[in-house]
Amino acid sequence: MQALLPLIILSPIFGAAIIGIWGLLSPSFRKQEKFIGSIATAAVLLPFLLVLQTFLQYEHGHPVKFELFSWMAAGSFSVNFSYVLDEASLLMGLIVTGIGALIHIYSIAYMHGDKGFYRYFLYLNLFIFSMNNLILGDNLLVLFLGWEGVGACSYFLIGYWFEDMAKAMAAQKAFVANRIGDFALLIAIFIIFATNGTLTFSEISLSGDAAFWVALLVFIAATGKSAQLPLYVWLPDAMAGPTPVSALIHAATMVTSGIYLIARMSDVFLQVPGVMLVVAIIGGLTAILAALIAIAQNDIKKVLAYSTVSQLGFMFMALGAGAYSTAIFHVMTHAFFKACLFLGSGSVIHAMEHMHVVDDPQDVRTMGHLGKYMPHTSKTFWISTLAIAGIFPLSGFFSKDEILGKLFAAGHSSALYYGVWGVGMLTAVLTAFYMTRVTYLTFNGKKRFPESGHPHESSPLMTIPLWILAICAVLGGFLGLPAIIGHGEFNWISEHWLSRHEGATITNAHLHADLITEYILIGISFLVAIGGVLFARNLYARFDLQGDLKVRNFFGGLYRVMENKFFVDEFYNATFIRPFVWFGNYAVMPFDKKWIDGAVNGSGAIVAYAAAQFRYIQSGLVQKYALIMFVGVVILLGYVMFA
Amino acid sequence: MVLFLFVVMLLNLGNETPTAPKYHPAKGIAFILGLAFFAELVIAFRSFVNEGHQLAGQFDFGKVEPLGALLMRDYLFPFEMVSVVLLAALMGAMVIARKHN
Amino acid sequence: MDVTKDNLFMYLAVSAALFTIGCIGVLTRRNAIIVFMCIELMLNAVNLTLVTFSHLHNNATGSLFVFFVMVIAAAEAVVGLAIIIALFRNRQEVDINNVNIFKW
Repeated sequence: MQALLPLIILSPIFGAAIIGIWGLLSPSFRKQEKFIGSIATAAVLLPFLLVLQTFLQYEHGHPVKFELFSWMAAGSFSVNFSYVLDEASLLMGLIVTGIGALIHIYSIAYMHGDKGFYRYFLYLNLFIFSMNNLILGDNLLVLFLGWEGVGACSYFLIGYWFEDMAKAMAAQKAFVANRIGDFALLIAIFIIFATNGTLTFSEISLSGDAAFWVALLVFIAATGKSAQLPLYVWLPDAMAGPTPVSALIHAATMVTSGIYLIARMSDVFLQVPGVMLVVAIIGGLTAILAALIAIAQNDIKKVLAYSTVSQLGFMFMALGAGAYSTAIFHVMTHAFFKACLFLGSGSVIHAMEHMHVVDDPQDVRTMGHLGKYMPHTSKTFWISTLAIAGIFPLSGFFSKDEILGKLFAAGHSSALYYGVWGVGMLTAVLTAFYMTRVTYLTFNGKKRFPESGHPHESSPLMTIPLWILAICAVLGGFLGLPAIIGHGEFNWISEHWLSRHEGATITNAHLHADLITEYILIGISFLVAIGGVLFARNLYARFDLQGDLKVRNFFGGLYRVMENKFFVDEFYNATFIRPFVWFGNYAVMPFDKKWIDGAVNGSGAIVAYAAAQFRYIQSGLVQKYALIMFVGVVILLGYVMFA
Repeated sequence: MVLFLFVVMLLNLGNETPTAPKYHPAKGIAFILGLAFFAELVIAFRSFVNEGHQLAGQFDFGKVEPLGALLMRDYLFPFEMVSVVLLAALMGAMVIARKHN
Repeated sequence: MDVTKDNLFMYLAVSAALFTIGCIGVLTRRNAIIVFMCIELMLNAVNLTLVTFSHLHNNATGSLFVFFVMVIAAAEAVVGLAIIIALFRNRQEVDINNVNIFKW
């Protein structure tokens, strides 16, 4: 078994290579969709099975390591492509490869007929390869390789339909925003290397100023990758890519890499409470901002995108409170229900497109009553909506509740955490509201699309993954039962699997509230969730689309701001982007054209001129050559004799 | 030298075509360099003479027989090789200079 | 006259003079046959030097070397003159300043 472990890393890249090369060379291969899809899915299922097996046979505190080959060895510093399967990476690995495999299967049906079919699966496999490197790497350099790789694959996949300029620009926006974060991560890596001389996670120890800066920089990098303020702006635009891509990358895997990195460096963060507070505050602000924007959006994918940003804010709030394992728990449950939501929306969009009766297949205002025609999609979508809203006993309830509980308990170290807790509560209400709104408007209520359209349920290749994810969304919460049941004995994830006491590498802060407080908190969050859901359902059942007017009235002038995404993009455009573009065009480009191009062309011209002058030496007259030789002889003789 | 004579007669050269007597700077340079070269050689030989090292050797140059014995015994191989070289030169000259009909 | 340390310089000076004249001739003359004669001159100057030192040191190796040099010089003269004959057949002149096809 140990010998097969490298296949976890190698299998996806082999899959990508096979699909890519064969697809490039053979036009007939490109048409065999089922074959390509099977290769790609197998390339991801194999790692999943290997990770699963390792997980089932795992002994606490004894990470499984494997190494591919040496990367570089320079003096006393050496880093290898070595990987470690410990508690945290096993969990993430299961999520990534498992949900990845499901999405591969889904994509076979979703991307049917697309002419770049093989290219899509090539990039998907490449993405899984990079993500595996990220989560399984045992040193920061392999992680960084994966970090950059997922950024690149995100660019490829968002801009998959690159002929459309808007989509290509969205891809570029994603990459640039990511890059800003990557720069911060790179500096953090440099600092770690300068103070520690090694980049392996298990050997890193930081303190004092170094810890502060590293924590801050890693957090900035995480805001880029995991879409928090101020670098979240790429995620809503990233919906330009195919929906399964949004499900995989921007819901379940890539955007959680920032959280994973911070959790891995929990020891460092615990030393700098100031940075942790910043993390929590930014998380809270992002969460509520995104939730407000989501209320006013009408594109189903945009709502889900902002919902992702908001939920990521929740995870950051957990990280900021010191509950690193809880954040990972929420990563897991979020992966389940968000992937299900995105895939469900893909199913809906597919149905709306096939009808050919509406202009925008993603606009909920032209949907309605689809539940009658698409039972599987509808049911799974509703399950996931209730999960994200935090309804007992679905998974979202447990993880969100744990986050809020830990936030409240963190209040004893700084009163600001109570404020963050309040923001979290508010966001939970809003989440329940807008998710119910969009689900109801899509699947229930009156039919708002023309009579001539006949939607139909999607193929089993799409609905079976939906059900699998929905079931996980239902059951996943039981892995982390709250402390009120059995004094935390049943909270497998946080207290057993990912806890330092039992050998894992993640350290959590001591956050325990007494039982009464816990009961009250759980009660409040449950009431809040149910309230939001019921309120939204009744509002839209009674008023249908006109319910939006009531919402508009409620928020007053703020609604317009929410609709326009708080004008953040416009602000960035005016403050940063336009000056940079101006600077590039007027300051840098002339220099580049005149001097750099001039230097390159000039050196060529000089060589050509010199050669043209030198060729006259070859006159063809042997006597002249002999004369030159004689000159040399005389000089040489003189030198030997007189020097 | 007889060879040269034969060749000159064979070629039946006329007078050198009276080209305009161009002044070749090359001729002047060659002449000056030649003088410099001669000076260097003289200086070298002069200093050699003044140092004057002597290798001891025993040979009587009066007769031919010792020379012949040396040639046939110690330096037989170069002797035979040189005859091969002459043969090659002969054949080469015949090939190059024959009439191509 | 025997070669001794006293009159060694005479012989060497003659040899150097011959060599230099040969050099200047090779670099200066226009007629190919004259150039060849100058080459022969240089070879013979070297022969003289060899014989001189051979007698100085009473060692026969130097003289034997002269023997081989002369043979090689003859062979080279044969081939060279054959080339000149071939050249003449094509051009009707032996002015080496006009043999410059291998130019730029």
